[in-house]
Amino acid sequence: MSPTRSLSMAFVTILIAAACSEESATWVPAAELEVPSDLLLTFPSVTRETFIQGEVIEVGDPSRPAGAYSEGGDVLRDEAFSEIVGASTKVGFDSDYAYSMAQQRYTGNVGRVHTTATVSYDGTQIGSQVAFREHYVPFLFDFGAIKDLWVEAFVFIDKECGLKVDGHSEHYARWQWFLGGPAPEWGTAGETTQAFPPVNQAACPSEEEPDNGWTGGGESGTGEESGAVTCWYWVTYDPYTGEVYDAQFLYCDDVTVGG
Amino acid sequence: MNTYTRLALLLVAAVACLGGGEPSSLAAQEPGSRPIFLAMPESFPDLDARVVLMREQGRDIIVLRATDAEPEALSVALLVLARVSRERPVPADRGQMIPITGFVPTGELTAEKRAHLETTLADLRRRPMANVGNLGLGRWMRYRER
Repeated sequence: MSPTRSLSMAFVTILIAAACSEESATWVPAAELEVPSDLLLTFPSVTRETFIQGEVIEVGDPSRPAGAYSEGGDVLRDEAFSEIVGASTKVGFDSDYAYSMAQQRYTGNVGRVHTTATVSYDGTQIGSQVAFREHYVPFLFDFGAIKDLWVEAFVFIDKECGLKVDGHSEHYARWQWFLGGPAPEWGTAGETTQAFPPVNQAACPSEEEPDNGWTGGGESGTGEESGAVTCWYWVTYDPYTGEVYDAQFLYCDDVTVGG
Repeated sequence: MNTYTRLALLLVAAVACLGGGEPSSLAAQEPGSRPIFLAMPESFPDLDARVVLMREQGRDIIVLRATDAEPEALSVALLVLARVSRERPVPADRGQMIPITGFVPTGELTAEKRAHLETTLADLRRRPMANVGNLGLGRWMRYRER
């Protein structure tokens, strides 16, 4: 073999060896880097609004939509203002969820209600879920009917003690010539309500205190593991484009090592 | 060694390199042994979250708030990550994001664990500023267990 060919072979060998020893940027052990290196990451396009449960119901057909109905349909009113009566917020726990339910009775061809369920543990807020519902009846077909509207915000839970749920709501009603855009509107009414009292689960028995390394207070630094009561959302997305496929309701539970 | 033998050896080396150099060795790891990256963007996303977990093929990422990057937050993030790793595998074509909106520790961290997490967070804060994907400027590093 000629010297030139031997040198070329050695060069190629070094190149292959270098290629083998290198990992893609994401997999470089960052602790060993001395120079800034970018993290390849596509954070999904989520905002606070992504997690709001909501719907706008436009009543174009005579069937009554879920969550809203007209009472009688023949109640005529003289005033040009919308009105909210009987607005309320109630909270509670069911077998596997906590809820805040808001309801209102109103006049106006657009009714809207927002409610927020807030879950706390040991006096600290750990999560809140917002829901809204808007009900629209075409202005010309409303005739001032009194309507009921309600919405519930759910927080799924897998814990049977120690949580508290609180709720507050905003209630709106108005007249609007048509829905969306800069349509003329008038006679807006608004009101806020708060659940009272908030609802508590039963207190956790003392034996539920972790014995897995969290010291449970008073014996700091003697345990080996840890735990917490926490709430989180669950989102699936396209890891390349960041497009969100699905966002689930808030969920609260205990997390402990091995649990 | 003649030229053909050397060429053959080089070819074998190249094939071995292409086959073994992919991060698939990481992607195929069991939950808990996947690499975990910590990211602390200068500007945290506009979310009702104290910390955000991201799970993708072959890696997990914990996105921390610079103003809330404490041992408890990192500890809870690791706990939730360990739990969801046990319960839900990451689909091949989807990422999973878990914004943790809040938490209350039910005890206290052990001194040893707290020290490890504090050291880790201090290390993260010392990292050079870089791009944290589309979150913009921030710091990041690979998390290492004790």
